[in-house]
Amino acid sequence: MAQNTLLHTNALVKRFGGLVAIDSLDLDVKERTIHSIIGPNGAGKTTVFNCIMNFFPITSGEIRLSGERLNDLTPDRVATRGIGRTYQNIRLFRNMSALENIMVGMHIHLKSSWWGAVLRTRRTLADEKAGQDEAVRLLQYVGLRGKGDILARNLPYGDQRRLEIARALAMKPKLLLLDEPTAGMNPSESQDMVTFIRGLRDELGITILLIEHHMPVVMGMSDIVTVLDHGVKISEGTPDHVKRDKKVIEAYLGTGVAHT
Amino acid sequence: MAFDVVASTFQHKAITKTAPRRAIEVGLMGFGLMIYFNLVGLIGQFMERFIIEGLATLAHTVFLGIAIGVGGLTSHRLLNETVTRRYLYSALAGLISGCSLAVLVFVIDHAQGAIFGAEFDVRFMFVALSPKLLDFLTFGTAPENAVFYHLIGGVVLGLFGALLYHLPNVLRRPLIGGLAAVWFIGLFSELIQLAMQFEVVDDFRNFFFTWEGQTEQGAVTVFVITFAIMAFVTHRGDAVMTGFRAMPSSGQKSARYALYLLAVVLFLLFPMAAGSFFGQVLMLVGLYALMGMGLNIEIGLAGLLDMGFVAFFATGAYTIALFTTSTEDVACVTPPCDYLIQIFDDRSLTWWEALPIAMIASLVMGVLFGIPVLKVRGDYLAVATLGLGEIIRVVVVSDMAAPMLGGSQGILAIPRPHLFGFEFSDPIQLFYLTLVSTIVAAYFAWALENSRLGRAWMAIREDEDVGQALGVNLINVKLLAYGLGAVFAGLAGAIFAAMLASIYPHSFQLLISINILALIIVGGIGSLPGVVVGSLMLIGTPELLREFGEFRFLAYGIVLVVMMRVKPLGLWPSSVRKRELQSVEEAEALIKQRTQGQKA
Repeated sequence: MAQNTLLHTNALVKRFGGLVAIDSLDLDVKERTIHSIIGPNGAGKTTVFNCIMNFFPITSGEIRLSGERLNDLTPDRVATRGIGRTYQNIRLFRNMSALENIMVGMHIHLKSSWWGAVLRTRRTLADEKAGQDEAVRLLQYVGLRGKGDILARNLPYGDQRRLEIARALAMKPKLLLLDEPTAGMNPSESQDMVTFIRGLRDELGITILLIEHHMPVVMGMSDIVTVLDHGVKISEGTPDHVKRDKKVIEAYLGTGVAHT
Repeated sequence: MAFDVVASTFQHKAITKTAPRRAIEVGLMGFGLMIYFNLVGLIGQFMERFIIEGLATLAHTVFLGIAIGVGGLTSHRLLNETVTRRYLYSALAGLISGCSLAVLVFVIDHAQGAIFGAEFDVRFMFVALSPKLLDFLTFGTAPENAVFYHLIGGVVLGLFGALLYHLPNVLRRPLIGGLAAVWFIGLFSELIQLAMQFEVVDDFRNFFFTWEGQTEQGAVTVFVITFAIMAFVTHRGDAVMTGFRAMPSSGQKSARYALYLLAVVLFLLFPMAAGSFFGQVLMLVGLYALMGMGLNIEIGLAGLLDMGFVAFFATGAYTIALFTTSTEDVACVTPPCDYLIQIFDDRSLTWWEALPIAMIASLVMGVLFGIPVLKVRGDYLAVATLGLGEIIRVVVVSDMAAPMLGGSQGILAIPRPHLFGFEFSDPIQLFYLTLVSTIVAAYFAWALENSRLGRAWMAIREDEDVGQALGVNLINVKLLAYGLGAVFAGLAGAIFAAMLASIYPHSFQLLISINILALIIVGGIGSLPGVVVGSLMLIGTPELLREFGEFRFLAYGIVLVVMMRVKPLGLWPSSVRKRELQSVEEAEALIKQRTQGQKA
């Protein structure tokens, strides 16, 4: 499994005032892997995602995607480089239909201009049509067929999660950041999600970086697991390796347990 | 989701209220309303206007309406009670609201007097409580009797409200419809007569109306006709619809188009038939609808709350004025200005030539306006734009710009638009110009809403951060929203300048921004038909009821509060576009492939 590095962070530091949220993090996400970030609450996992998207300026360090520096790009430019993401607390466009949500995801791939839309040029209409068909296909792909015209806020919870992923997929990302994709799901739904995420990698060739709390999910599907605690990487490796790492056990259960 | 929870607990609480308490609540609502209308002087004005000549004034109908409404509402809120008790409680609520007038009669009767030796005069505070109002409220009888009448009247009307509520649909709808028609035609009788100034219809007109209001025979006829029509529709409407549905779809389509066509033709002919006053009102309605379309792009689609929209309106109007008038009319000798005069002098353009310049100027103004507030969100944005809107007006009257823009004297003698030798001079002709512009604006807005840009706007309205993470360039998209929205306002400004033939800075008050914002909210944020409905409601109705003009903003307030409570999405909310169905047939094949691929 010798692979190229897709995403690389070099000595990434993020401070909020006096609080060090991420401390000198080196992350290497290989192409076509499922890479998990785990850690106790407040370990800085979501902050890593926000730093990658450049939602706020990082304090120091460097982020590169396929060798290209992302530090100075605004989030929308980062998105065009091929990074899609979902959110821990689902953030859909609640008053738009499911289909429209997906079509916003295609924003960077649709070419039509506003005057094209007003004049209804052939090119624009063709572009819209292609986008719409693609969106319907994506709906089907995530199992939401026939729900495209429902307002996002009226969808049940599980469907909203799927829709959020479909919206991210519409960007045709190289790297997909999933923030707790199985949060609030029962074991069988979680299992479906695991199968689905594997499919993303195997069928679509997307590299996946995810944050997760459900250990069975993490251990079951990750190629590499990175463990964060208080912004510091304390362990990294295959799931088996991480599971046995003393530092990890300490971080999760406290020092006393590890010594006994 | 959280909202649903809140709403359901609220309902639960509401159910646990006891029946008498609810009846009293509703009754007190009516009580409060009646007292309030009297105190602010609304009734004083309403009693001058006859609905049916010599019989009922607008004030009477307001009292009747409130009392009957209270009765009906009480019955509606007590669905768990038996019918008899519902009637009883409705009577109680009616009694309470009737008390209001009894109290008023008593208070006005004893308006001046002394308590413990100290003299007081209620009318010192409440000017509206005049002897004239007392006369009106006592029907010319002794106050002691009138108090009694009002209490009895309250009970009777409360019962009548309950009765109306319990009547079967077949009777209730025609009854309410008939009364509403009489009221409506009575209220607008003067305007309707203005539209009927042809000799041929003189007898017909005199049968229904006098210049004071509706005649009794006219009212009865209107009621009977409306009742009959409504009864037929309620009774046989379903059958007609079934017949319609049974028609072949092509027939259905052509019938529908014929109906649309008829409506459009009637609408187009209406202002010509109705006279210049209606033309004027419709013109204003159209102008505000046009601006509403523009603001709707900013607020409805892109979610950018803009309280300074009048700035773009002013830009359009002033640009037209500058380019179409000769500068001789403007006194100007100071340095920056005499230079500018050289540019503009003897280059007076026609209105049509200046129009594109005005629109481009508004576009530029919109973009400039947008730049400083790019990073401001939500409520703060409203405050920031509020300031920017005021700046325009202040700049116009400032010493530096005054020589060029005419300062507070304004710019006069703006030529009217000509087209193929035809001059748009009276309001009706300008109305058609406005109408065409509004339709163009509506088409623009509709096309944009459906486009990539429109979706990006909606995305940043819903969640700016997520939109950005999906690749939406916030700066471009926001500035386009400001710019394109401003173009429509500029167009409206250009027509406005042509309508008045002169413009003054005080025509561009903050109030215009607020009006446009209010009409969008009332119509339904983000909805194009909503803009027109809102404009008709908030601009058209007050214009038609000019004599009650000083209460316009009171009505605005009430309408906005009631709207938020009853129809928070607006009168004509925007609907979800059905897009999946549209392409589903072609997708069907693809979907099958995918399913097989996924399962395999």
